[in-house]
Amino acid sequence: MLGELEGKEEILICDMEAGVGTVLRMEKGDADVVLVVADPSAKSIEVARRAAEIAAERARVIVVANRVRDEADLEAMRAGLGAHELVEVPEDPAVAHAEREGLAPIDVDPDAPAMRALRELGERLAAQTAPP
Amino acid sequence: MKIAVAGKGGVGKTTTSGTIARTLARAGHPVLALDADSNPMLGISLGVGPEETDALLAARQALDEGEAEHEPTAEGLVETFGTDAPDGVRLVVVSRIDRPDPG
Repeated sequence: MLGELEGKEEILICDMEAGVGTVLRMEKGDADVVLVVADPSAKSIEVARRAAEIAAERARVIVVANRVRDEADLEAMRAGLGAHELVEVPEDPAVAHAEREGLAPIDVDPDAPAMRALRELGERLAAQTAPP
Repeated sequence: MKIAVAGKGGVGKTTTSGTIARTLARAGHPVLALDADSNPMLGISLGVGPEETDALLAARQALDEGEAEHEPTAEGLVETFGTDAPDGVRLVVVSRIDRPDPG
């Protein structure tokens, strides 16, 4: 049924079920871009590596390397996920703080480092989509 | 354009979805944000607040438990299980609720 919504709104963005399962069930055409989010933990990098590998057969993949604290974190993520386009998002206490309060981090502190990085990615994607 | 956001639970998938959705809307695009996570918290990251996020979750749960009618059309689904988020983003919860009391 979600296919019916296509074209009625210009951009559809879907926060998918956690894990690799939904990516496995995705078919070509379901998404143009798959944002694969990972943090620096080994487990998360492994899930992201598998998801990105599968998704790359069907769509453009951008890895969001989240919660990067230092060069070592970034290196670990590049080692596992460097085959894909990768966007670095720094560790940022402002995010957890806002969400604990039930607020959107972009409203509480739009210039927090993590928000800056995600807004940059969003603006890049917006520029790559035909204007409304 | 259709964007899917994937990853292990707890890595910042929902924050990423919400922030990207808001940014795309601010750039002038009509945005429909779908929450397909079984722990549907996208409303928080989008800025609709905990009460509205809970209300959407309750509506979705009533559907899962057979207390509410399935919407026959996609538009009906967006209307009944959707809400307006800041910057003009439309949010719809499409997941089954596996964990009605997400922690």
